[in-house]
Amino acid sequence: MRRVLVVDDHAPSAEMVAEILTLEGYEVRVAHSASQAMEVAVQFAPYVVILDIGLPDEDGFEVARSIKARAELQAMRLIALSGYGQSQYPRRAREAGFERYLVKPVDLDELLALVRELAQGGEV
Amino acid sequence: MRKIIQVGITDAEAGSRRHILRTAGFDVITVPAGADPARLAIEHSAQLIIMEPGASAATERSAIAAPPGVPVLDLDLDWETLTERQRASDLALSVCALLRLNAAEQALRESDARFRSVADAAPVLIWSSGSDRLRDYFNQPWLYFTGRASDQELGEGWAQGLHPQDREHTFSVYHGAFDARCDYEVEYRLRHREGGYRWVLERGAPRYTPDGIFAGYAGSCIDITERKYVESERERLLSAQVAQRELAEASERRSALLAEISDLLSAGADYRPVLDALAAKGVPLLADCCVIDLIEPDGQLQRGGRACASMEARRTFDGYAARSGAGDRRDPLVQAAMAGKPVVVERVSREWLRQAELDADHGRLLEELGVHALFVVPLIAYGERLGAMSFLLTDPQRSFTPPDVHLAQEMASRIALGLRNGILFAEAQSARRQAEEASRVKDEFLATVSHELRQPVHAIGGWVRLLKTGKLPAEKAAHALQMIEQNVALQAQIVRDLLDVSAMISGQFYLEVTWITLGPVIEAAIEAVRPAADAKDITLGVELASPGRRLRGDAKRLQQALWNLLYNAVKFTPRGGRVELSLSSADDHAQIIVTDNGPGIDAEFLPHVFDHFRQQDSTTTRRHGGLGLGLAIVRHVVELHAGEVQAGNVGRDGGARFVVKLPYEAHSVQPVAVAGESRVSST
Repeated sequence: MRRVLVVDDHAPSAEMVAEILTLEGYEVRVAHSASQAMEVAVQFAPYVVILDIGLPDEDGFEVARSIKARAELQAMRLIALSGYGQSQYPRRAREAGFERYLVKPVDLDELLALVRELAQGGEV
Repeated sequence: MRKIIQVGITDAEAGSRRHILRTAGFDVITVPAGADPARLAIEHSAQLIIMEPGASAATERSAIAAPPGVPVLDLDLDWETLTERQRASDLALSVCALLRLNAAEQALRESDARFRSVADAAPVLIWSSGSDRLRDYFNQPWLYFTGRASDQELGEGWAQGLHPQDREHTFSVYHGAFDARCDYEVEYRLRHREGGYRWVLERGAPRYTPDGIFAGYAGSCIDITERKYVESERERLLSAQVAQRELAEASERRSALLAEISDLLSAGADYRPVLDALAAKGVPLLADCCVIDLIEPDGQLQRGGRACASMEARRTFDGYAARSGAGDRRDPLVQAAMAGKPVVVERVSREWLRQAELDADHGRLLEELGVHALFVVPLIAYGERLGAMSFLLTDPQRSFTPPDVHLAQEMASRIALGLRNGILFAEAQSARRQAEEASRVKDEFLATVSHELRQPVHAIGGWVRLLKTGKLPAEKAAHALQMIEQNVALQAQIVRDLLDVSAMISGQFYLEVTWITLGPVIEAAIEAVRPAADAKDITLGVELASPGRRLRGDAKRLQQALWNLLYNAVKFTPRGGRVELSLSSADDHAQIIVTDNGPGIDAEFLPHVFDHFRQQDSTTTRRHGGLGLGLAIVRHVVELHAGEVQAGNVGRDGGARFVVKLPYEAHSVQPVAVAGESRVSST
């Protein structure tokens, strides 16, 4: 439950989040596109996925739906972390299967607490 | 002195007989009934005894022993018997005759008086005429009615009261009947004493003496004014009713027609398919052919719709339309009508066709159709001239009236209103769609801006936090700092671009103009973009000709513009690609061309490539970042330098190419920002 996948096409952001989580003791992998994310998800089997919405090939909602549609990936906990602040996105995120929708720049303490909660198998 | 004894003196007749006898010279001695006349006769030496009616009854007849030689006239007996009895005595005979005459006169007078009283009491006007045709008697009611005296009316005087228009007819009937000795009836107007004429119904019948000799006519008239009035009123009401009904029907038809037209027009906002149906409303109601002509905004005529009563006419029309093509067509009739008043041609003759100045085709069309009359009404709504509606008559039996033209005008005004509303509606819809589109583009842009700004802030915040923990190993820390630097720069760039565009839009973007040379400007731009090019292994090629030639401009802004072009090129060129910039010099301007070997610009997007807020598509944004403001800034800066920039593609499968031209001459460079839409042409 300590495995986390970070997906973001903005490399500095992805790296930064990965670094922070690593320092907290999580095992972290990074992906920069939807297709890459699916590959790594299947291979790496993370418990928590931090997913950007604005990806180059497919948006994060689609990725979430694809993940939730696959039996073996069902248990993954998804967090949306996006630069888009539109009002209807939180609802769409919920419908797509995200636990929470966070907007950049994110309060990293909040993010860490959230990941901790989910990694322990808790509900948020 | 001859004396007469009159026995029985009580009644008026006796009195009048006494009076007659005394006037004739007799001395009349009266004796009541019952007295003995014989004794008196002897006493007075009377020559005659007259027994009044009833007197002899009162006296015992046998008691009358008339002295010898004295006749007794017993008036109880009738004249015949009396005359027979008295034949012997001359005196008795003459008195008898006298009395008889008197009696006859009396009877006549009585009869006359009775007749008169009946005649005068009758509610009818009565008259009689003699065998000479002239009227000789009028009863009281007649005289009262006419207010004239008997002697005024007698003869033909009464005819003065006959209404002049009725005289001929009345006399013709009278004389005709008179000649035929038959009954007649005639109505005429007779002047009333109060002035004015009243209608009377006269009935006349021939009259005869007891001997059967024709004596003239007798007639009566009754006042039928009331009846006549009622009759004429009824006729008047009837025809008024009929007229009203016709009016109501016509009005209903007009309303129905106008309602049908409204329905057609409101069925949809696009009126064009409906014009034929609208033209059909005029056929065959008002004409044999109806044409709706609309004027395009450029003044050109455009046939909007047509309808014909016959297939043949329709074919002729279509043939003509096919032949005449899309040349410049003007129609003087339509133009004239559009001035506001209908054009009415009651007879389309050769001369008229000649002087009407219609073009050859038009004139031939009218001839072929056999148009003998026409009228054209304007289509005007809200004071705007939309065109005209023409009504052509080909059926020789047919003609039109002013009410037809009036109805046509009503139809046309309703149609014009509907058309204008349709046009307004379409324009409003289009305007709304454009506004919605512009709004959508802006919304997208704002979302993009906020997204792009959030990225670097997010990254910077994270890396700073990491550094603060102190737990980063050395090269990670160095990397962190680099990330921070990069993102700060990126963010600064975004902010700068946003502020520049904002200044441009609000007209506050200024150039600082001096004499500059392009060589250093280009070099600076190249250097600024080099790191980004290196990161993608992109080669930067530069070719400079006359880099030292001077021109008026703002070096910093030009550098910014060129940097934007180069950075775009780098952004869109795949890894390992090539971006080239060349500077050349024409007579009056410098030319800079920037090319890349990326995917090029979509033909559809080309016209919008320099618009604010636009990127080719939103996925482009995600893939390449940035706000899409770069090119808008390029255009703005170049145009402030009185130059121009064009976007295009290098051949069919090449990358994009941008050509910038900057004039060397000073006076056209303006320091004031100009806002406007993209007018840039593409190659």
